[in-house]
Amino acid sequence: MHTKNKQRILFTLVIVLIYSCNIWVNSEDSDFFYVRNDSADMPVWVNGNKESETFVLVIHGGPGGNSLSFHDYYMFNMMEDDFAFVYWDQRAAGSSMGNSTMEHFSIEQYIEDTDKVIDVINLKYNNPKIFLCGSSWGGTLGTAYLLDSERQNKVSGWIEMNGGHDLQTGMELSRQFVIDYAENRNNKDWNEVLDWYEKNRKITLNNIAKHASYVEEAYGYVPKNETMSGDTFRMMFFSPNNILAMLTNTAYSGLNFDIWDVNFIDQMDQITIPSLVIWGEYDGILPVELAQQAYDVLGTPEDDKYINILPNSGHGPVDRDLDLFHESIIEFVNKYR
Amino acid sequence: MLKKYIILVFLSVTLSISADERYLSVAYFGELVSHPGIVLSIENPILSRNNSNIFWTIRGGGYNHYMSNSTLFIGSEFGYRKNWNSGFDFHSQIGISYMHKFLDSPIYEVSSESELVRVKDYGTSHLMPNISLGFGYTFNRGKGREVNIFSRTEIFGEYPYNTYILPHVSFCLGFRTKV
Repeated sequence: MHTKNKQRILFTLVIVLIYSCNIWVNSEDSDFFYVRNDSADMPVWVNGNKESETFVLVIHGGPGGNSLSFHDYYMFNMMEDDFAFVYWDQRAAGSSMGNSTMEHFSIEQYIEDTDKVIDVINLKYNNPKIFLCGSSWGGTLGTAYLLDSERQNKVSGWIEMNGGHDLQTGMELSRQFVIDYAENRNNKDWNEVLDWYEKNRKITLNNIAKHASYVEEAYGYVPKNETMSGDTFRMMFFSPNNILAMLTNTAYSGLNFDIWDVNFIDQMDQITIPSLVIWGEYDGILPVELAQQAYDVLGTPEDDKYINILPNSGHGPVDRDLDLFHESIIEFVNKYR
Repeated sequence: MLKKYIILVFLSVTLSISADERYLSVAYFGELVSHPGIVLSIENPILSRNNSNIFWTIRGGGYNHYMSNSTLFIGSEFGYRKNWNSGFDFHSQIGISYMHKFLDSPIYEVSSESELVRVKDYGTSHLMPNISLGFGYTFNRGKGREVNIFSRTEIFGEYPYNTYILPHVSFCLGFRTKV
C-alpha cells in the first residue's frame, strides 16, 4: 500500500475517533454534574439550547434504565437546537453512583430525588420553564410526582411516553398481548409460552423478567422490520456512561423494586397542567389502550391536553416515526413554554 | 476488615523491598479499553520450577473515566506465569486492592434553606478484587537484559456499589523488566 494511502486511512480513522468522542465533550451548550441525595450521586447531563430558558427533564424507564440513551436512540439530540434537554440517571440506574439499599426502593424516595433534580435545575439556571418527559417507568414516576399541587407548580408541562400510570391494567393488557401473539403462531415454542401464562396469571416482580423476554420475542418493544437509531459503540466507549453499571443496575433495580401493582388512575384528575400523551401503536409491554385511558382521566382542560399515536412504533419511537415524534414534542413545548 | 487489609498491604510492601530479585512493570490501564489509566507493579518471585513460576506483586495505579470518575488504587496480587522457550508466556493474577474514587464532575445538593450547594468531593472508599489473564513475549531471553512486553485483560470489582459489587473490565498493555 502506498504511504499516501496509509496516511489517508490513518487521518480518516483519527477524524472518526475525534468525531466519536466529540459528541460528549463539555461545550458551552453542555453541562455535566451530579445531584447528591440520600446515598446517591445521580449524573445529570444538560445539553442543548439553554438560552431558550426551556428545559425538558427526561425521566427514563426501568426501574434501572438510563437517560443518556434517549439522546441517541430516540434522537432527542435533534431537538436540542430548540430546547435544553436534561438527561438524568435515577438512583441505582444508568451510571449513577452511591450506595442505594433496598430501603431506597420506594416511589416516595424517587419522587424526592426528582424534586431535588428539579430544584437544582431551577437554582442553577434561574428558574427556567421545566417540562417533564417520562417514558415507561418514567411515566409512573412523572405521574406520581405531579399528583402534588405544590410540585406540579414547578412544571410547565407533562409528556407521558408509553408510560406506566396504571401498571395493574398495563400488565393485564401486556399479558394478553403475548397470549394473542402466541395463539396466532400456534407452534411448539409458543404453545409452551401459553402454558407458562396459564401458570402465571398475574405479572409480578417474580415473573416480570420472563414476561418481558416474551414481550420482546413477540416484537412488543420494537416491532418486526422496524429499526431504532443509536450508537452503542460511542455510548460504551466514549461517554460518561458505564455500560457495566447500566447492566447491573438494570438487574438490581428491575428485580428488587416492586412497582407492578401501581395504579394512579383514581388520582390523575389532580394533574391539571398541559399534557401530551405519546404512544407506540404496537407497544406490547404497556399497550396502546393505556394512552386513551391516560388522556381521559387527566384533569387538564380539553384544550390543553393532546394524544398522539405513533403508527409504526412499539415501546419507543422507531426511525420511521421520529419526525412525527419530534414534531409533536416541539409543537407542544413551544405552545406552553 | 480495612485494618487487616492495611496490614496485609504493609507486609507486602516490606517483603517486596527485601526480595532479592524483583521486576518492575508499567502498563496502560484502560477501563473498558478507552478510559485511560496507568498501573505500576513490583513483582517478586516466590517459586520457580522449569518454565513456570509463582510470584506476588504490589501494585498501584489509577484511571480516568471521562466526566464520570477518577479512580486510584493500591494493592497486592498473587500470580502464575508459564514461559515457553520461544519467549512467549501466559500469566494469570488474582488480588485485592484498596480503591478510592472521585467523581469527575461537580456535585450539587439542595440545602435545607433551598440553596444550591456545591459539595466538596473527598471521594469514596471501595475494595477492589481483581483477576486477570494475559500473554507476553520476552526479548533477549537468556541473553542479557530481558524485557517482557505483555497484554492483559483484567476483571475487577468495586465494592460496595448499591450494596453489591460492580464489575469492571480493563485492558492492560505494558512492559516488565528486572530491577
